[in-house]
Amino acid sequence: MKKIIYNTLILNLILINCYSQSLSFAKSKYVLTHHYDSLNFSNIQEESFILILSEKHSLFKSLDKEIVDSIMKSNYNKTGIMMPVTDKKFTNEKILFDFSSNEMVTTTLKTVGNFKTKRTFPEINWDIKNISRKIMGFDCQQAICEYHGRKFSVWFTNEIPIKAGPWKLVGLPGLIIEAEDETKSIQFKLISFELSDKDKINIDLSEEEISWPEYLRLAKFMQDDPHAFMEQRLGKKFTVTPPMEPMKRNPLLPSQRINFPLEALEYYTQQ
Amino acid sequence: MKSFFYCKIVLFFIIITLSLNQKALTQEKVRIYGKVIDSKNFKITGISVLLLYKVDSSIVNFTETDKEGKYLFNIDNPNLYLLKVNSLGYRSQIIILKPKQTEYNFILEESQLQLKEVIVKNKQPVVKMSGDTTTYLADDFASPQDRTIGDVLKKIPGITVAENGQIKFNGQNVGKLYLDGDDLLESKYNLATRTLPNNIVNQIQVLENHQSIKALEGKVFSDAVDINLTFKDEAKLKLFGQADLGGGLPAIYEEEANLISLKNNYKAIHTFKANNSANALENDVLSLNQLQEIAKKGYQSINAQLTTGTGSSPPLDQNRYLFNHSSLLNSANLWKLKNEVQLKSKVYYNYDKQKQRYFNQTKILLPNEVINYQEQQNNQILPQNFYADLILFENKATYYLNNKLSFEYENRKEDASLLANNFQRVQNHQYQSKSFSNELDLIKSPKGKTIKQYYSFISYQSQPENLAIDSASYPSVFLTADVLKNINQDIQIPTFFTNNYLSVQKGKGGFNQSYKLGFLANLQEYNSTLSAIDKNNETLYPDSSDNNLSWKEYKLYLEPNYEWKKGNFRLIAKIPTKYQIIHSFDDIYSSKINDKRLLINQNISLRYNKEKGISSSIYYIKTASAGNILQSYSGLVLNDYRSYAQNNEILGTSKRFNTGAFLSYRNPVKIFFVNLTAYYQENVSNNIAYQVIDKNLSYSERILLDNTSSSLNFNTDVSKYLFNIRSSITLSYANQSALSNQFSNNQLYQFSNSSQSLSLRWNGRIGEKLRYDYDLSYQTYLSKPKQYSNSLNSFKMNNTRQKLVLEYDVKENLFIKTSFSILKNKNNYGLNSNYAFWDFALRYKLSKQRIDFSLDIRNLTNIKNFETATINQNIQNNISYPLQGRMIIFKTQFTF
Repeated sequence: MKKIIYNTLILNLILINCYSQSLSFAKSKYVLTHHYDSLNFSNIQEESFILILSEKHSLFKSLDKEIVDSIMKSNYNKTGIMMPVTDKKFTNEKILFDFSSNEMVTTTLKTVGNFKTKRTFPEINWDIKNISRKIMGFDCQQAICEYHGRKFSVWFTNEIPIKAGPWKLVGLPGLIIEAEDETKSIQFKLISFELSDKDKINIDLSEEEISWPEYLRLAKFMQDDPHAFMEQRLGKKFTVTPPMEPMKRNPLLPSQRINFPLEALEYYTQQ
Repeated sequence: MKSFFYCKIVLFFIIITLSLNQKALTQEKVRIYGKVIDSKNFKITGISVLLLYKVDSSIVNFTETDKEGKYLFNIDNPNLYLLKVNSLGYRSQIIILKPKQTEYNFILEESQLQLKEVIVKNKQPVVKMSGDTTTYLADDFASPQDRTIGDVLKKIPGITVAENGQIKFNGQNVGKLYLDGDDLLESKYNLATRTLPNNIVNQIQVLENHQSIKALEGKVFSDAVDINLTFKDEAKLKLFGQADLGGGLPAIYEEEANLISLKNNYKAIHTFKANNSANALENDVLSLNQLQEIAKKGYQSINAQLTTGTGSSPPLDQNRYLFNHSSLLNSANLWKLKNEVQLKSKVYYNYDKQKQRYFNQTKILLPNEVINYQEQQNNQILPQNFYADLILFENKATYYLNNKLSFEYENRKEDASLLANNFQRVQNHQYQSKSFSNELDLIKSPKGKTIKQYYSFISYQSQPENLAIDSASYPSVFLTADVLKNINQDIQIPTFFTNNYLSVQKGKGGFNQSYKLGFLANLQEYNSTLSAIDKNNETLYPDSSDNNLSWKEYKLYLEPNYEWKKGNFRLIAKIPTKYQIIHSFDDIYSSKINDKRLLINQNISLRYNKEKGISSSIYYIKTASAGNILQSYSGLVLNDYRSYAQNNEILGTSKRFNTGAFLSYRNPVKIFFVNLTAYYQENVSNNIAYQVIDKNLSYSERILLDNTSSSLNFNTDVSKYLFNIRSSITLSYANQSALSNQFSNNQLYQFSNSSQSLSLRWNGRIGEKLRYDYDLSYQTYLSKPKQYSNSLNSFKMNNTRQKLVLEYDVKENLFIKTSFSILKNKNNYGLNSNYAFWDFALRYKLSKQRIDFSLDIRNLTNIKNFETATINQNIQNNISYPLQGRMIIFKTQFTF
């Protein structure tokens, strides 16, 4: 079983590098502080993200995940063993936002399969407040929205006139510098913004792309009969003892210990 | 009547307000629209058009141009607004709305990217605390002039770093420094703090109550404080290192090269350092939690017994006074094998050649007299140290193994030319110590079952030592007034030691109990000979010139250990009970000790530990011990040219009581740390050193006499980060008062010592380019015989030290740093001194080539001599040291 997971991971690593690329002009780094357990506020997961900006797109992905993967990959190249580097779980999902079409695409690289799914999210209805603040030298203005079951308050700056922001929080006339939900359980903070023309944004989604409903269907299949699902994905029969039980939870949902995920649970499996 | 008038006014305003609102509601919306095109008349789609308030330019609304490049706003009053288009690749444009116009078109001029080349870093440091872990981001506290992670640690609120490298967190010693979860260096973590560049470190995590053994996690409480460093991605992928080439005036060299791996499965720090710029490298390999190691092993290795003089190091930064040629070659490795097994090794070789000169005037204070003597030393010291260990380590949830095999070789040669009380002599001291040891710690902790532990420590040490004095006269020892040649003192104390125990532990609910059954053996010899050659070349031996003592000490011990936990409270009680047998025998004096006794100790502590905020503890420890070979030899030993010792066949016993309280408060959000420590120690022993102090030769002998000494200590530190002025402030206060007995020149009296120290450290930044670090410490000492209040019989001293470091970033790649220190010493007996030092450094980074150039000018004012006074109990020294003088060092650093 472990081996299978490692194999899938190797495949992932290879696939990530296959897209055609467009070049960035800047990149910003964010830290997400996530009090994921509403019963115990002191349970915190921190994760660094990078938002790569080109003139037409932005790509948001986990920096920690990249680091862990690159270490695993280099270890694998040397030792032939795929060893987990850390017991922390970092975000797999990458979010690509197209400024001109306002279309957001997320790639999901989970055990369900190495798929890229295109999902268009409804545009966020921002309410801009007449409150300003200087953050990290930028003149910022506050805006609020309700999105996927959470109420967010963000600070954006028109000094960087680009519609991007951390995670799925996009669409304002300037980069979002800070964002937090009303319970302060989810906080994104910019830690750096620098000009850079060396980073690549992967926009070609021609490989292994499936539709979101199809992906949901696969996840449900995996949940109900993980064994048959694995056999189908790997294209061969195998036996596992003890037999694999149906999964209690949809594999697309965040782990149970996270009882305050970034978006309300229904959005993880919503059509 | 009046109230009616007010009612009318209120009513009037209500009506006015309502009618205005009505007007606002009914006011027609105005359509403001237009097109956005570029200079070539091409329409621009999807560009944001902003509607701003005229008064403060804040954004009210925004829209985007459609496929035709058109936009539309519906607004109430055009007089209030502006339109703005700001987009990448175009020059931004603002249009003021006019009362009657509704169509506004933008023609955008293309322009280069308008964003300035800026890297903005979040400037507010953030400290996070979750459970027992407090996390700092290294970059929050680092400055471009820092080189190693040790430089950054010093500046972090809540953390202090002592001169020898010992790190403390909120008043508690840090035992281990983990590198990404791996313990590469054990307690010799100076190798990491003085080598690892700070820019590769991501987080500094302080782990309190850290149980480093996974098999005991959640089962056995630990009060250890450790630090874990996490690293940035690039540092984990490949080997990297630095090479420093430095040289300067007067004939100075300072070289360093290191190679570091922080990979997940292989961690290593290899270093080579060499300099004659007053940086002795022995501290780099210093073991920093020796006390805990001694307590765990039950063993303390024996140090050199003989010295060439009585002087000490000046209270100055070492790089001002040391004359050296030091080098250190070190290789520390950690390999992860299969199944979480780790193999670790440390090997280092430290070679030094030091010159030490000083002129010392000593006053020894006795109730009825003051004894004066002077000495002038000119020494050449050659210390060498080789160390190697090999560790097999396995740390699993149910199983723990740590086996450490180590070997240490130490060789110290010292040639001393001495002028004491106007009498010239030459001395030579040689010390050579070899020690082997093996330490095994094995724990099995099956789920839900009894935890079993086996521990074994075994060691052998031999340390032949010799002190030779070329010409001196010791009439009271050799019973001749002649000047003797070649006075020789040899000592050899071979020691075999082993300590083994088995322990079982079981816990249920909040109650844990463990029992330790152990056996300890300490087999030693004390062999020494004192001889001299007289003017007729005959060898003379004084009376009792030799020791040939054999010492056998065995202990069988049982240590029950109970631990209750309820809520945030934890009560720990240990009652180590030892049965001890000592047989000692010296065939020369037919002296014999045959002692059997039961020693019962106690160790009780109560802790209160809240996840956030306050934690505190109170404790009581009683330690009884008996017997020490170093107090039981009968023959004469000349410890240095001016003192000799002899003992009777006594068995020294002592009971040490230690009780205290610790309180700490942490608020990571406000970056605020406070701790208070208070403890009282009392030592009741059955013997005292009887001394006959003379300006030429002193004598000391251990005799049986009830002897109680005590001390009361109080420390507090307050550390706070001030967000509004971006600086950290640490304020510390310490107070110690001690009482001890002295039995000198036929007088038995109590001696009291008290000291107080207050220190302030304030570091921060002004703007983006200027940083400051100010250190102030003020200390007072008072030392006097208790019964004699006569001020002539007391030593008083106060010291003030101030240091200001300023760092300024001239450019992105050019930095300057300058520091001023002022030292003041005032006392009632000796000389008062007053010094000011000034240092300057310049650093230039060739960023792309990863090369740094630096220029260091130390001691700009070229101070060549330093005089100061020190107090140690009833001994006061006025010492004068030569200094290194001005030093100019040019250094090139390559990073690869």
